[in-house]
Amino acid sequence: MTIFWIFLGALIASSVWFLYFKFEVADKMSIARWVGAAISVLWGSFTIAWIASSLAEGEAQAAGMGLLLFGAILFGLIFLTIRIDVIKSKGLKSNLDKTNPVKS
Amino acid sequence: MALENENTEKNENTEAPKIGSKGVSRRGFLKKSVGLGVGAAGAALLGIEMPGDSGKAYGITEHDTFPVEMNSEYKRYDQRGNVFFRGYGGEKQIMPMLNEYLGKKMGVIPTTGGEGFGQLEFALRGAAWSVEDDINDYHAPGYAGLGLYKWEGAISPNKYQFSSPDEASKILKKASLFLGADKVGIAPYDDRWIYSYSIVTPDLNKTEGQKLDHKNSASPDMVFQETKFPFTPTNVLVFVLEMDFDAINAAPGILEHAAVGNEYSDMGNIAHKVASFIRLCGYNAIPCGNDTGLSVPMAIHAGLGELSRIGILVTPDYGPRVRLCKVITDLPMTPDKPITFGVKEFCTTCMKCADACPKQAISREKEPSFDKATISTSAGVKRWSLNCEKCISNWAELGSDCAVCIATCPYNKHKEWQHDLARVGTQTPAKSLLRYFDELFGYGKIDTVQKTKEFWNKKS
Repeated sequence: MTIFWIFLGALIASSVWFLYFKFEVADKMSIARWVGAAISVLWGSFTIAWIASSLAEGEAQAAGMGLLLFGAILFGLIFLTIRIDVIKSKGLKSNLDKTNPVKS
Repeated sequence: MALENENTEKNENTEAPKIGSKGVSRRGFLKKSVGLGVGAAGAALLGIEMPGDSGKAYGITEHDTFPVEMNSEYKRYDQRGNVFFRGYGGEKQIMPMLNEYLGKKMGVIPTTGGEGFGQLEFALRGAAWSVEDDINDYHAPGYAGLGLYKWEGAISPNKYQFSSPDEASKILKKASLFLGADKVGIAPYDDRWIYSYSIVTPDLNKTEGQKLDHKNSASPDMVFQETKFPFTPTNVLVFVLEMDFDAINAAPGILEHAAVGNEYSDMGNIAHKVASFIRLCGYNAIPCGNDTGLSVPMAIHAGLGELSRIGILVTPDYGPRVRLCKVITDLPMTPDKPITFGVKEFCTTCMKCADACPKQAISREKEPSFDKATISTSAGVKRWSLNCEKCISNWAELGSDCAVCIATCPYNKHKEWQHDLARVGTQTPAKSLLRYFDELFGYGKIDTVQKTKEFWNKKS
């Protein structure tokens, strides 16, 4: 399992650098997205660790259910992280519409 | 214009130094590195052992007083009321069941059964119990002073002077772990946990030829006496021995019984060795298994775990999958404090053991109470009372000691980080959901045939 934990650490590091080079450099990351990305990376690591640890102790059903439940939550987190600025800007727009209604 | 543009570019380069071909700023690099460090630390946190090892870690509360409610009805336990000795004593309802269990255990009565009840399993069980049966003369029902549990032993005339009770505790704990205990705790000596009457040997006054072997049958001959010590005890060292996870999970088959027997054999070994160590340091010591006093309250008093719905000890590290033994001594030591870690609260919502029990021997009352399930139950203790008569009836049918309750308990897990996280969850409002998730994730399933196969096929 020691190799697995090293692998997981490397995976987290790679994920952060991937996000940085792919999106931050291209100016696609905001603070909200970084927070979302950090939570997603940690949750993803937790999911992988759960699956690996369950398989290591011979609990195949626990590994499968972990993949299903924690994986579904991970997809939700990734979706939210991608859409967060869109949601924010939509919210901002609707607030602006409410405070400054267009006069006809 | 071309010259101006070139100058502007040069100025920008001076203001924001970049590294790498893609133009990453130094400040950005440092900021992200900090983020990366936090991420790596998070991953490392998943890998390290979570609190719970020391028994005094996160989620564990220490108490100055005994954490189980008792009232004035409580009296020292008379071992003649123990369900085993009611059987040995010839009680009509219990004796046939005890006879059947003992006969099946020793192979006198054949055990029927398919996979999980084969020759390999019986051989393993015989081997696991062999020290307890052959050397300790089957002390397990609670016979005192047999085999490795003998009370006599040479005491060094040179009394080792420990600098303080704290130092004595530290040394004795180290020695106990070295000598084979998985966990050790120190309780103050408390008369309440000592049997008022103890069964000393099954047939002390009979010659070899007259003996009715208590290993094979419920002999009606017993010798009992008021429990008295040849010295004034000050402390009790209590030892936790972990039973094999895979074998216990094959409950209620013969492998489970092998796991129990293995620890019974180790109990005598460890109690004997620690008692010898204390005697060689110049102090009195009495090694005990199930005899002389109640192990569960002593273990609670020694800070090793908490009382559960099953009526047995649940430890932070191994759950209920443990056996206990102890050494009573006059070596002054600093006792540990009793602990709780949410077992009682979790047991009120879980009831997985009560649902799984084939004989409905485990209480289904939501809250613990002072009610007694049988005449073998101690009065005056607020807890879930186990019906030991129903329980032993299943032992008789199976020829093993069942342990379905231990195998299904959500606290019965490998020592892994994810289960430590779940254990922390038992102390949150989410505790009522944890049994559902425990079952959803497939933990604690009872399937003797499959689990027996897995046991033999699993690489060690």
